[in-house]
Amino acid sequence: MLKNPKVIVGSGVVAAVLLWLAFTAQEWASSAIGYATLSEAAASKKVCYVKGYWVKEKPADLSGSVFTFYMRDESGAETRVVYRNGKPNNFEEATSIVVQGKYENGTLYAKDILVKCPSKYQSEAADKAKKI
Amino acid sequence: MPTDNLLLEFLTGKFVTIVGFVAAMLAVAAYFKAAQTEHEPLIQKEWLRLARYAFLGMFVAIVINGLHLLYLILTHQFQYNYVKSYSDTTLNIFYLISTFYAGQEGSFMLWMFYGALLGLFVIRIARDYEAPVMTVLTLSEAFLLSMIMGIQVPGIGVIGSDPFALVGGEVPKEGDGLNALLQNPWMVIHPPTLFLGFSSLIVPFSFAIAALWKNRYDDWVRPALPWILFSALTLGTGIMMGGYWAYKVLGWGGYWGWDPVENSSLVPWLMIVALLHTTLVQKKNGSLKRFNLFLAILSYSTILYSAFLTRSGVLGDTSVHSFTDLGLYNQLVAFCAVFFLGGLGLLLWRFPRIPSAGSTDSLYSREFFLMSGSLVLMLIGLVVLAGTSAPLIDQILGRPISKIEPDFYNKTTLPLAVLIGFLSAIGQLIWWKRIDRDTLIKNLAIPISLAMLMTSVLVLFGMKEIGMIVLTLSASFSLFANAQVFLKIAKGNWRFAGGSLTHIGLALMLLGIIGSGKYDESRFVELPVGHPVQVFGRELVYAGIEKIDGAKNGFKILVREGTKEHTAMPVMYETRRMTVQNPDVIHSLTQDFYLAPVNLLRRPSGHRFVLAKDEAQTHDGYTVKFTGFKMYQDPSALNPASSQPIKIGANVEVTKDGVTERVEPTLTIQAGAAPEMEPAALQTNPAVKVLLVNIDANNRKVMLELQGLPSATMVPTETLIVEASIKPFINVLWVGTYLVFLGFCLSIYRRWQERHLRHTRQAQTRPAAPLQKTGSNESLVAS
Repeated sequence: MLKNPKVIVGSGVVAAVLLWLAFTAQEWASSAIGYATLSEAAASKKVCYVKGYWVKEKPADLSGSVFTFYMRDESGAETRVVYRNGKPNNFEEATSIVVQGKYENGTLYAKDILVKCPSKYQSEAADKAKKI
Repeated sequence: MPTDNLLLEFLTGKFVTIVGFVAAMLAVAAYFKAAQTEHEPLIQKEWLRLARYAFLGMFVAIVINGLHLLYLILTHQFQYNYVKSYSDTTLNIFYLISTFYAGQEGSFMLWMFYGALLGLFVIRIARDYEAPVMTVLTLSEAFLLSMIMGIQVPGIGVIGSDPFALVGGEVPKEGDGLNALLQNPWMVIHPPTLFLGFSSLIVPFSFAIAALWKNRYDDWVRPALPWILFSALTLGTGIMMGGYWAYKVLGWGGYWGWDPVENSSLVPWLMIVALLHTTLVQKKNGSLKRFNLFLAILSYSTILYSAFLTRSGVLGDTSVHSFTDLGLYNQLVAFCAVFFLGGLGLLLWRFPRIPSAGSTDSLYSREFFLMSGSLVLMLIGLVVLAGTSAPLIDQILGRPISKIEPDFYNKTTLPLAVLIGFLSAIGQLIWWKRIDRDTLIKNLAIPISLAMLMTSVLVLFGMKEIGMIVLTLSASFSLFANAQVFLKIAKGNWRFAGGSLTHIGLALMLLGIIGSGKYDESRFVELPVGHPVQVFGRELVYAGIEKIDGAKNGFKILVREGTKEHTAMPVMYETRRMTVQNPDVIHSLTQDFYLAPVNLLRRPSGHRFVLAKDEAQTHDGYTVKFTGFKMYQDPSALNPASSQPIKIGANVEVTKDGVTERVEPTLTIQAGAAPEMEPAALQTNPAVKVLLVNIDANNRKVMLELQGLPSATMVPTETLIVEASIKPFINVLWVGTYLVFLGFCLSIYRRWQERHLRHTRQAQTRPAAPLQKTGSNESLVAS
């Protein structure tokens, strides 16, 4: 039985696929970034997406290469956001923003800021174009 | 206005859609009857005639609708919502035409037009497969037509979204215009190509359903094969064009971002390419019948599922993309369910009746490698599909919604890409016939040694990651193995070389992806106007804004590299909808230098001094002297490639009214981030600050800025922030895509010819039943 190369190769393949599936599941868990409110983000200590709005009344540095501002999340909590790559385009016009970042010591350190604009894009191509 | 006449408007808009839908349903019913009455040729003939007329009626309705919408767009009839939303009077003719498919309704119309057009070809060439195949194809057309009907059905609600809906109220003078990013020559041809690929997948699907329906599990792959190749070619070309467009126009530096929209066209392509490989196995030895039927069903189902994901608004909350929900959610679900569950159900029902050919192939057969390749492609497709569906899965399970990061796909598909490389190498080396282990090893010798040589050279040049080394080995193995096969075949009959040419292209694409995707470098650079800045061994000087096409800001950047000098002109401009940032790329043979504009900072500034060591300049009573650097790190330990921030201070003496003061402004540079400046205020007058703006390491000069002078001219200085990146060997990727394209074309040509050859041979050797059948069909076409 074991002399049949097909059986050997077949079981090898099955083992490899199972191994790969386990790897995939583990990667899935580590690369799934959830949407969270600020309190949830603080509790998770992981990178999260926080959806919210720019608090225009609070101090912001819009011109520097380190861009800071205050945001309010959907539960009403507020935080300072620090982003190192300058103000994203269309920031002022945004109806809402989604900040991808880590919430530490009362500051949300942004890796990326996604700006949602009031306009509607429909086609796939246009949607693709919105990639920031 | 030509369409003030309400009756005319009714006749040419929604009404035509409804006529087309009714004709499609009629054609479905008639084709169904024709397929069920094969044993009664006379009755079948009547049904077929009716079905063809109905299908033709539907085709005409679709064409009229399309021309109508195009006419409305070209004549700027902004009273129509669709025209108003996507076009304006400033667009040139090409972009006006691309307005046609800028919205969901128009792209559905393009999809159904292609489907109907391909249907006409199927009628002409499918012979005895016509009735069952066209039943399925026309059903898909009926579903597509229902998406643009826009009629109120009691008890169900509105069905479809009508592209001919009026704005209501006052007629706007001007439209909203076409998304600026779509105003690019690539976008004129990319969506039509992609949609041709989308719609062509219905043909292999229909053949598979016809096979299940008629219990003809053997011969469906022969007529379906050219269609499978055609789908793989068009969809693949569409995807590659999209990547090129993203790279040249979008300015986010890459050609592939594992975005839901990209993924949803990649997955069906992987499925159809997997099907392509296993149909070759079935043609050869009759095995894998069930798997092929499954893959054919899966490929069209994944297209429909993609349409659902991207058009139903289900990803709306988790994607940056504001997918608009046109209220088609339920319709899209029904479309998916009918085709996927219907197809799968039919397959399962027939499953026990499908003969399984006991495969006697050894492990050294070409078929074994073809099958393994297909399985791996399918696995890649499924994992990408799963990742893209993550928000939907969360929604269904009632969990907080999450999104899968692009890195997930890179990591999980890496081992599979390695396998693809090895399988495509060995599979091609075992050309046609079974060979034993010794011959195989003999054939392997040259390519494997070359691959190892090439990989070793790259390792010597600094490739460290084990995953990349293995992938390079596998991809270069595939490259050399396929090149060897290509040379051998092309010497004999070049028409048979399509497969190896495609695989050479694929191997080159993998190598190009390694180079440009893994070993790219990127840095945010601040470019004060007129001041040279060093980055990646090049000197950049931002020379100011030049207006392009009247209103767009082109940033003129002089790039000096050694003795060569180029001018780059990335562009940034505001539209009503968004800021558009078009990058500029300086191509060279081995790498691209990519400049994407990020932001233009205009700030009131003080006076700037460019000083060499111990040089002093006076401005407005302040004499500023640069006396030397202060290093915060050991200079010899600094590695420019590391991500460690580098902090540098400048020792500056400022003299005013005979009082000299020493200050030390600093500058912190970090890879991937904009530099940070820490100004130093004068003690005698804290309102006056000294900034270290920039360092010119080559000429050992600094740029200092004196801010807060009372007499300061408040002329804003411009600083342009760009993202500069190096894309090594990206040309290898592009060359790969061209070869893949050429290889597919060659294969289609050959299979198309083979279809005729096979047919004549069959007619000669087996003049019995099949010929009579096809003969009767031919006479039908003639009548």
